Amino acid sequence: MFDITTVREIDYGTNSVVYVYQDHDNPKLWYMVPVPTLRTVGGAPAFSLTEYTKNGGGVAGLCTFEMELIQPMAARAAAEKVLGDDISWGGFTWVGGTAYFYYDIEGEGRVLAVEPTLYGTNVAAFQIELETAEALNTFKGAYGSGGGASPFRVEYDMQVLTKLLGAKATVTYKAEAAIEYEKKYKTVRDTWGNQKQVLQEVKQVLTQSGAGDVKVELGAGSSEELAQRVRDWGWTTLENQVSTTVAAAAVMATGPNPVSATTSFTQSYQEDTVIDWSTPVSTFMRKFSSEEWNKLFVKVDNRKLSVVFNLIGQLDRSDNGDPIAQSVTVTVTYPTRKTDNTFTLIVKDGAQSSLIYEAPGDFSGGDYNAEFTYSYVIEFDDGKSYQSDPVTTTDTLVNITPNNFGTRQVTFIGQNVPFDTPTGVRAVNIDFFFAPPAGNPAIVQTKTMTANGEEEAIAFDSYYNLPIGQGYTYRLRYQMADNTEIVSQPPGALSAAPDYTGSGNADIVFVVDPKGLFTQFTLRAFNYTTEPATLALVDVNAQYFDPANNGDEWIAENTWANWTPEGFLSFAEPRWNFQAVDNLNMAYYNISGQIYYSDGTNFTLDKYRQSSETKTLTITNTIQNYSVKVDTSLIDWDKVASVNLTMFQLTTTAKEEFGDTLPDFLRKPREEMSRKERELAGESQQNQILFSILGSPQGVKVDTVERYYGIQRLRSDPTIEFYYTAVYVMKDGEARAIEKQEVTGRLSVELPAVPPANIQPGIVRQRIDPDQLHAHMRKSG
Amino acid sequence: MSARGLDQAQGAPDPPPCDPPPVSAIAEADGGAVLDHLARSARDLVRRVADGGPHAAEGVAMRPVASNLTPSGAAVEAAFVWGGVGPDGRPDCDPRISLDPLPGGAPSGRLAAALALVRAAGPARLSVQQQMLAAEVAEWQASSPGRYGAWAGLRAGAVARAPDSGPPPLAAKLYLELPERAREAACALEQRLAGTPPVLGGRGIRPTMLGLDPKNGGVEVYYRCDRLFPGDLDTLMRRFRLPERAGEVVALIERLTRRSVRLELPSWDVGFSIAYGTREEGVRPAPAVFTFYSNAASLLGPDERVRCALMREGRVRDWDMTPYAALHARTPEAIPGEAPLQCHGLVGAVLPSGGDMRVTATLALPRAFGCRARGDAMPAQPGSLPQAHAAEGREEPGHG
Repeated sequence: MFDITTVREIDYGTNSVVYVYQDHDNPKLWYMVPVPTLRTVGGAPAFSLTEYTKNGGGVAGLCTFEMELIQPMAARAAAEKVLGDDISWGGFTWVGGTAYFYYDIEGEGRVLAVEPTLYGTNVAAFQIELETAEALNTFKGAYGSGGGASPFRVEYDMQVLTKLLGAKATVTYKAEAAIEYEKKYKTVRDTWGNQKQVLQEVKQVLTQSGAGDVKVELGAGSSEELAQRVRDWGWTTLENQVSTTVAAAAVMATGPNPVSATTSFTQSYQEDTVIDWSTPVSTFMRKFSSEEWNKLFVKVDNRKLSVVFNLIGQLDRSDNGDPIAQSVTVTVTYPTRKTDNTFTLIVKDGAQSSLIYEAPGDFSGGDYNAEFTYSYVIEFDDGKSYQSDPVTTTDTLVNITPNNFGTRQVTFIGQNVPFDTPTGVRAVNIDFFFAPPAGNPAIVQTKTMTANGEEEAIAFDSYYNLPIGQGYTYRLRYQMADNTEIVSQPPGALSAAPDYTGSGNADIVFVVDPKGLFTQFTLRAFNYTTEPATLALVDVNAQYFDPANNGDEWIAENTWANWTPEGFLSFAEPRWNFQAVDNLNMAYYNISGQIYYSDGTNFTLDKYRQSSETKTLTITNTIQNYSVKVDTSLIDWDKVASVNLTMFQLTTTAKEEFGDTLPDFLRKPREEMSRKERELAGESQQNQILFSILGSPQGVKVDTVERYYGIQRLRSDPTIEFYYTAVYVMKDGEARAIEKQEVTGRLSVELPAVPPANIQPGIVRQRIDPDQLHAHMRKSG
Repeated sequence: MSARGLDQAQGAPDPPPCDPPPVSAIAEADGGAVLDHLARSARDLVRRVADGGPHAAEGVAMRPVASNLTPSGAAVEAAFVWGGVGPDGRPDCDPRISLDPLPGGAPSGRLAAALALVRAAGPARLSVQQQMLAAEVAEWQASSPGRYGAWAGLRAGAVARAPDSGPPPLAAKLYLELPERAREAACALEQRLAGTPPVLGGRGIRPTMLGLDPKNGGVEVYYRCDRLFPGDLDTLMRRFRLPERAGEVVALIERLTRRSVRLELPSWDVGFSIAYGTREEGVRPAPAVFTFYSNAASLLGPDERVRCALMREGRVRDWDMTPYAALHARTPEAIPGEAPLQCHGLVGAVLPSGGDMRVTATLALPRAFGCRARGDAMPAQPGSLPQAHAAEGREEPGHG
């Protein structure tokens, strides 16, 4: 394992630098962080820029290229000069990573993120459609003849597991500071869809506002140099976590300004903790010589079909390192190409993990036809094979991921769980579940962790010859030294990942100390000036309940009395901070209070409850808050293994557009949608939350905890309306769903014991009109 | 300047305008005394210029209004340059100030006030070349008005003096805004001065200000740009025929931020300046000093963090930090509910050709000559000129 305290910079070439690490146990073994380079295939650069001169079918051109990570010979030589020529070189075992292409179109910066293969030289294929002539010219200028460096660059951010040696680190994010900064210094914001854009802006806010802080405490005998390295890591970790928090807040925050819906957090990492380490490396691409450019820049009359096919993710078995399958043979069907439609990708071979399929554009219908069909055959080691259903799509990036191979490998690693202490944890029981292929029994597996670190990691590995879904659920049951049990279940993971990531949820889960998690709850208010009435006075009392861990008693309580929200955006002070177990899946806030408006009316928050996943309550002068109770007590856990309930509301424009009939794809989980569908879903759905409700292994108390969904009702449009879909995975492996329904007059959802078999899955629309709501509120006192 | 200030009812009587701050508030170190002297001189000069100028009747210079010079609204900013030695051979902080000679005034008025102040400050006069440049810029400003027009700078003449020989003589500097709307003309000018074509087209590099130093005939061009990479600094220095020393700048940034610079320089608000050597007859002035600047908050965060970073570096390098440290005692209180006013302006690395790197930082002096910072109680002013609305945040590095 490489030792992070030993990192060195080695200069090579004219102006380049490379980073090397020494092995922890073998001083003669070194690791070099490889450098992004333009791939060469058959002696020629794997690059092409095509201009469409006649029928662009809506675009002016296309740029495709492949990058890879290599250790330059010059770098090796330079390193050996410094470190000795009797050293040997090891390789990093990547656990994940992303490649970013930074470019601009007419001066406006853009980033394209792509997931490289984890094998071989980590090839990443980039494809950029150039929509306008100006865009095409920007690219011509960036690469066209002249030699020297291009203004465009590629950055690789590969992750590897290692130990935090020789130092302790604490990362802190103070939401109040970030929010104050945002208020005072408004900067132009992009939409929050592009994840990398979020990270860049988050970095700026973290620095300028002072909201982020990283403290490093050196262990005995450690150097200041190490402190710098650990600080680097701490800042990157903090930036990524804040970025995730902001992205999550954007999905759930109903109202503008997602940063104001974030809450503070702090995290400590002790010495010897296993951590996710990355050393980002970046190189500017190069301009091509005129000779090269003549071959790489091509003008064609008609737009062509160009699709990138990739095998990505962890594709080797964790037990023996063998590939999870031999090969994938893909067949593409497109009218203009009748031969050479089939190609094979080799699993775990970095050089043959991706291919760019091209065909002349089909203009038979007059316009460019972007639609094609593909299917693939997977050859497994044991001679079995799997033929996929054909998929018809216009997506020009197709990622084939481990779950398509029927593989699921998730590793739980303890990170500073207080094992072996008198008041600590005796063991952690991990309940793990995912939906197996149809026909296979679906069970909640349980394994037990008794120590921290990679050597004591707990793995859940399953290998089927049929595809499985991308999501999985788990629950941690900490058995404490005093014989009590603490339950911690993360919230359902809505795939907010940008569409380049197909390899699914984190395959490494860090298990942490269950107690004493710092929690902050924020009450914020928006006063829209377009409304006749503003928020005049607010009284709120909030309580935190975690029935799985604390039964019927609240764990923490806070009251804000006589708060007068001022200005457009304001926060009730002081913020409510408390410590509790991290059980976002099941814990909730119970909020009561009174909101007075400037027109003399008022609104009662009557036992309003929301999932603890949402740590902000937003009140505005345009909406009123209600909560929907989800009753899970009827689920028949003898037959059911797990239930996934997705609830959402529609944006006003989507409501108008869809009317009574929602498009069917909204029913699908995001990972299963095509890119276009995902974009549409992002624009139409709001206030989306996923409740994953897990059955229990034999002998463990079942989950009957109610869930709560907080919704907003427009004062101007007093009908409450929300939607949900529910998927039940039965213990015998069958998947059942709730069918399309219209429910009126109820502010609660009752999940049935078991939905009937063989029905078409659908979306339930539930509405309560003002009279029904009035009756309901009156009834509940 | 907030309307709130104007609306404050008459409370305490207006303090006598522009009384010097008590000397005890600044440490008795040489640098502190120099700053004190500069601040006082600035006040006197501004008054003298105003009394002789077209706005004398309105007592414009005495109006305690906020200025666009600094985010906090202070009309005076102190600058320190560490890493060099004073005439007595000891490390000094080479303090100087920049100031807004006409807070609240229109850019054209400020340009005139700045010119007048530079004339009044000392015997040195703008050279013929400098006058021509100033005239050119004034013309551009007349047809394409900018945001501020001009600032003035003051420093103590760098002459070894016997103790008790009286206050050091003053040297003034003129900073002229190159208006946004005259961008093309400004670019042509900077190319003329540089003698080489511009580089790094993708970084949004634009000249924003021209500095003229009458004492030595020097011309300095200030630029703003988008985010830079370490390699870009060398490219820039190469363009100006200066030795490539990006490594020193990057190392300084790494020490100040306590983070490694792997990719871009970690600031969203950066710029640089080129100072041209004094002109010999018939010889084109050569670029002599390259300075890299960043907005202090963008690089290091809130004031307290900037202060910590500079003090830490100063301790290690054995700089004279006392006057800088003492200034912090006088920074204005934050207004509850608003982000604290940013007092630090810029942080920079100065690379004189053939000399050691120096480090510079600027700091607003909110009450340096009785002028008020935003949030101070303000009495209503009868019959005043239209108030300039101070920018919500810094738009440019440098003295504007």
